[in-house]
Amino acid sequence: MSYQLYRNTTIGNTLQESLDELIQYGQITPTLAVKVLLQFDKSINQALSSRVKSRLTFKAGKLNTYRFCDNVWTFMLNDVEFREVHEVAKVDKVKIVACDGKSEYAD
Amino acid sequence: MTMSQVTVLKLYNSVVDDVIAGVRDCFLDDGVDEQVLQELKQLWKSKLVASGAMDPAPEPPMQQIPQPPVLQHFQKVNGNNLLSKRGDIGPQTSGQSGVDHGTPAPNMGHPHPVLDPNNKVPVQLTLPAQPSVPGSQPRSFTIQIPASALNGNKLHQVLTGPIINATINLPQPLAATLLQQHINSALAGQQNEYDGGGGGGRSGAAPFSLDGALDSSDDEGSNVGDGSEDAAGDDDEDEDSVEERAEEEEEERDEFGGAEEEPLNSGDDVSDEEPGDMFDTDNVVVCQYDKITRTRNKWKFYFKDGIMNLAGKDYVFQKANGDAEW
Repeated sequence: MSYQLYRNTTIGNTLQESLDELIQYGQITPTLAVKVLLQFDKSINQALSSRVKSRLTFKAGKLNTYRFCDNVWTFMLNDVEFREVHEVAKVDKVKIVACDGKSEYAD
Repeated sequence: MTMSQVTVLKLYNSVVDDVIAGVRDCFLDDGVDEQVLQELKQLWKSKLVASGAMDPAPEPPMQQIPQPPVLQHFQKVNGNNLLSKRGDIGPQTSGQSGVDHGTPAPNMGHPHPVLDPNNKVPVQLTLPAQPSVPGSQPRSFTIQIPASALNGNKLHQVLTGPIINATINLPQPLAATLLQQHINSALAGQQNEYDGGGGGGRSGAAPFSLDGALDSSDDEGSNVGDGSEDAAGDDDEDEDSVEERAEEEEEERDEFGGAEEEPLNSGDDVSDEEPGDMFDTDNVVVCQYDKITRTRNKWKFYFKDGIMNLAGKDYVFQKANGDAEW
């Protein structure tokens, strides 16, 4: 079982839109679409944990809101500076949704 | 953060391939054709490219041409692009059409006012390709509109979202016919306003205008007679309608009462934050936490395996550590 939270990203949303279209055209069943999404969960979790090597640091001007519910942290940060070695990206607002990285469900 | 962006493109491609390979058996078991699986891959990849979340690829890109969302295409169709395409077949550049008023328009984006308002001008429309339909191409066709309609953004008023939406799915000849009819009838109404049906040559383009005016005047004449009869009838009805009126008023009061009780709206929610502030953020990070610590108001975050969307661009990280004060 892998986390489903990556469905709410660019790559997850575009997959869901594609599946929706195929369902609408009657080319696949919703059941098959669910199987594809489960495979996506598996693939993206695995790819992130094994293939991504970049490390970032960030500094936020303010932690605006935090919430901890069902083992999921949600943070709203203001004036955030993300830094990867010498490169910097600044945003005035960011929402972070984080599941438990040590969870038994995450393998 | 170019490093993580290059990673994003490679990572996404590998995930797409991995998912497609991983569900092949499921498709077979369901008796779904391999073709559909390839279609899914195609759709997914083109949507990914269209999202613009990945920078232009440093390596030879996928086959798909970057495709902005359909909505933007609609705006372009409604916007200036529509008119600027006129030069393709329009009288200014081709010089071969039968229109002989000819001072060339100095700026193709802005129709020249010298055009004889009664002359028809060919206008090329382009319907965007549908990302939802594989192999769909942008379709162009030519429609005839009165030159006067090019002034004052008439076309923009006529070619609105709904009509484009209605035609986008139709086969090309049908779409062309439908759009032509729509424009004819819409312009017929508008043109009467300032040039009282003068152009006999235009009657073909405006089949409803002249007849419509005459017909309605006839109707009005007969309506006068109808009206007087009605008035006589009203007198009879007045006597027994007091009770009905009372009932009607009561109903009206009920309606008002209903309106007063209604306001259980989202605006009633009591919240320190604007709901929009809380959830409508462009910048989202989805990840997992190793550890979250807090000392007084100082927070430290240890995240891993994250996908970030910052200002429309995607980044990924293995680790991201940070801090903030609450």
